[in-house]
Amino acid sequence: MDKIEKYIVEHRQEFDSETAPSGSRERFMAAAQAQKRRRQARVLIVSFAGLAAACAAVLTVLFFQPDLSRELERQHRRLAEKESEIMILADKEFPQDKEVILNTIRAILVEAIPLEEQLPEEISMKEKSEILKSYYDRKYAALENLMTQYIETL
Amino acid sequence: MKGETDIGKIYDDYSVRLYNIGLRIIGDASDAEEIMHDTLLKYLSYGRKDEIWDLAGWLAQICIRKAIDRLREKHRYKDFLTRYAEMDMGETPEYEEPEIISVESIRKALTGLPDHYRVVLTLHLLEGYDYQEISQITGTKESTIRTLYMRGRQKLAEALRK
Repeated sequence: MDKIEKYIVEHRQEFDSETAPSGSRERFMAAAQAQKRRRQARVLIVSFAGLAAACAAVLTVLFFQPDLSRELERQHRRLAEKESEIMILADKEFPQDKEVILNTIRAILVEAIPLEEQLPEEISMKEKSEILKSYYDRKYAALENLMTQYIETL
Repeated sequence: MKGETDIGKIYDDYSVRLYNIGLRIIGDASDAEEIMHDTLLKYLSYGRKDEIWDLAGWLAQICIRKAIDRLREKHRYKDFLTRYAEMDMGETPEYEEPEIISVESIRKALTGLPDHYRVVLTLHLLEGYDYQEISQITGTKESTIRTLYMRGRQKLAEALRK
């Protein structure tokens, strides 16, 4: 280490003697307060955003729930209409088989516990709707199949 | 208000040191003040203050990094240290040491040196970083830092003899 290096290292602390331009402390305090306000505003915005998201979720559930009920209603009405069609046909063309037809329809439609009541809470409304639609579509197809088979014998 | 007192105390305790670090690296009073403010503001908004065991050291490091970044922006060239080192890669000549030296004369001589020499000399002699640490801070090869230091030391001696 040469003379200059040695001198600088030995006098390090004395090199920190320059003072900041006048008004620096006031400018810093103002900047710190502005930063604090910005942070508080950000926290508020984030809180509002969280609240808005929660509201949106509640509204989605509220609006989606009737959609699911409407879907179920539509499926039940569709099945009832097909059942009625089959029974009219049975009355008219197959009175002797009416009892058998009625029992077959019951076997297809009657459930001890409806599927919608068995679905777990955790799955989404969309998923529930898809499962129910697919389930009732199969029942409807079974009724149609029953009706087609009788019509083909005519 | 307690919050304001805390902020004021942080300023009073560390502003001089940080301002001088910034000034030595960047060489401009207004930039040095801004860097000092930014460093203290970063600390105030830092979420893990309880993990800082050496606040003076932590602040100095942040301040140095900010000053180096500012210098990079000023030069609009990421590897400004390498660029200068490559421009000046000849043999390091012997130099005569000045007879009389003082803090003030060294400070003046350092201020007059080109940025690349001043940065390396400041970090090594005044902030106590070794070549490897300076290489990491500046993102420059250690051999380049060594070259810049040797040349810078010679330039500083020349400036002090004037």
